[in-house]
Amino acid sequence: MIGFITSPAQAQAANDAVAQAQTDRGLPVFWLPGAYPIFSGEHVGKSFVPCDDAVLNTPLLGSPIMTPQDFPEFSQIITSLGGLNSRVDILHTDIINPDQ
Amino acid sequence: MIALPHFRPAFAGIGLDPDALAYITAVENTGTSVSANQKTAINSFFKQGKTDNWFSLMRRIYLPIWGLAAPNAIDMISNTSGTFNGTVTHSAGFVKGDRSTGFFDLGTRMPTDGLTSDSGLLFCLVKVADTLTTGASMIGQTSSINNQLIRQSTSSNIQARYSNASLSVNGGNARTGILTISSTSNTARSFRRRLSSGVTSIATSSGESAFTLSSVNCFAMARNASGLSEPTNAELGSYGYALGLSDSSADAFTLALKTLWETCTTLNLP
Repeated sequence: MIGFITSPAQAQAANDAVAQAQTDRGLPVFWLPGAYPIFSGEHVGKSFVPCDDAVLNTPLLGSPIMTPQDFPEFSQIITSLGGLNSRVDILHTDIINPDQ
Repeated sequence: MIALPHFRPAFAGIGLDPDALAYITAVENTGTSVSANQKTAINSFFKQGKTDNWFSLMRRIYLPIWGLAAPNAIDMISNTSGTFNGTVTHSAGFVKGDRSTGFFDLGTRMPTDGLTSDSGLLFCLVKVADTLTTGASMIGQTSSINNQLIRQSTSSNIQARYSNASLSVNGGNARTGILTISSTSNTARSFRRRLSSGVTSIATSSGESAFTLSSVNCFAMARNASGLSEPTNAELGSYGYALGLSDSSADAFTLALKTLWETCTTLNLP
């Protein structure tokens, strides 16, 4: 899975910013990239924010269709997470909670 | 700040059921085109529900067929929106998670919407079953042993729980179609399945003592176990919940849902 490794607080802040980009436009919060605790692997204890091509190109709304990349706030949020070149690829098993 | 594109005003809706019109308007306000056939099908669904007397018992119905996150997130009953998270594919007729990060947070809780241990129903329309052999949840919420959900336990067993003791109702190899688990008393659970060929009972159980349902947000395409649990890659065309429906009412609902989904998508239920 491709995305950002960051602190739980920063992952939440990124999702809050995505939420605000929607509510600022009078929209409900219908889409978030998500923030997933990492339970195993080299990044255990941190959070994962998905940011693969599928996420970047999620068809959100409108005609013509708008994706996250069509919103100006998007570049700011990506910068806050370290930029697209700082993304990593982790195993999906790293975010599986062993207690569930 | 970027301005949103101008969306066409909603169809005037002469003759449409008011609840149908409200849902159609909500979908169109996201910039989604709703065809005349789809409007007719949606109107028929609402009207049939009121004629059959199951509509008033519905609490959340999602119809994620529109190919876009915003209209897919709209509840047909309240016209409020849940939230998609992670990697979700929005296709014509269904949504599909990635079995890792993708899920839908309904943003509401079954007890808040009036479901109780002796009155509640969960449902999901599974176009294509999960591709793996391990556990995956279509819809649900969990607080320890307090479970309300529909899941596959393996690739050959569909399972429902409406329990404060993790009691499972096992339906066998029946992972596709429209699945409903209903409680109309504390002493009975009814697990049913509708395919194109008809509707059947796939399992029943005796229930348990009265309890208060799990109070975390309900998820679809996964379950909420105070965090994401068992995300699925099944292709889902609808999901939601209601107060308890008798077998005959549940069957009337799933027949109407089948007709709605097939007409709006031109796909066929398995």
